[in-house]
Amino acid sequence: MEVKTRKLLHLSFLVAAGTALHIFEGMLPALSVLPGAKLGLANLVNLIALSFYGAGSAWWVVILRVFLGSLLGGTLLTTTFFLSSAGALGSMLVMIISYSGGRGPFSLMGVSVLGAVAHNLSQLLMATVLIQRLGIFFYLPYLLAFALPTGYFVGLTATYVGRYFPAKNGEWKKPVTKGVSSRALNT
Amino acid sequence: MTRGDKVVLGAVVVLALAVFGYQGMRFRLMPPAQEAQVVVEVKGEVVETHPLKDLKAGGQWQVKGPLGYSVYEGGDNRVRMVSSPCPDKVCVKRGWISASGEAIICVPNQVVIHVEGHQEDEEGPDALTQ
Repeated sequence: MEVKTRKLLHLSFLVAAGTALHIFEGMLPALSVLPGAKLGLANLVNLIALSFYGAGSAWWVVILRVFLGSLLGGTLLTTTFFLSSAGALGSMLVMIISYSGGRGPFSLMGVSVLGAVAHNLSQLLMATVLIQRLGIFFYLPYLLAFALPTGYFVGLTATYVGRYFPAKNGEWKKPVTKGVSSRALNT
Repeated sequence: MTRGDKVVLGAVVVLALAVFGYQGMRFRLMPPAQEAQVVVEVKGEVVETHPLKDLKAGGQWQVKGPLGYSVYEGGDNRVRMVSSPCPDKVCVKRGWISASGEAIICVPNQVVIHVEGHQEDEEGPDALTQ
């Protein structure tokens, strides 16, 4: 298959998978003790797109995913949509900078955690703009505590997924899988 | 886990604790109730409002309801009902209130005293995030 077609196919698959994860997460019951806390499953496809195809493709995946996810989830142009977009775009910006094409000091786990933190920050910022009250930042420590494990495991999953997407004939850019021992990945 | 990852994890923990600690300090140093208003209503209509901090300790005010005068007292950023012409004295037994949202409600004399704060935290997000 032509490289360009293959790329288009893979990115379309990532958008579709991200959309499904986005909607699935919206269907999970909200934590009553901590509204806004979530697993960040959709970030998985962002990480894969970023590590395989770089920043430009990752932007496309995240923008299309939020749009389609909100459209199909029925939240388009509602408060949820704006919170969602702010979180996704802020998070993607920070992840692209911190990943820096695999040459940055962080593995996908670190990038994912940074993305989760950026997601929380930009979402709280957007919420502050929407409700005109600064007090909502009082949630931040709890959200951050939640972002650590979820961000870490999403990053770990992305690392493993990257391992099972084989690079053939140099058509793929092989992702950098720093920080996980090759023995663990070979199992 | 690279060294960079560990730095990130550590930094997030520190940031979370710092914000948490800052909020704890702020709450202790200047309780939100300081800006709170004490609103007194009779028959559902607001008859008096005082900033909570202006109710001097020991000072007493009275308000007239259908049964007679209800007397309330201020004290160190809180307020309580000290006497009331009602039969059951539920309002007096309610004791001190100080936090935003708390209320003393005397049904027989139709007097309601409640604290309305400018507490920033009382409003949570009401939208489900996705």
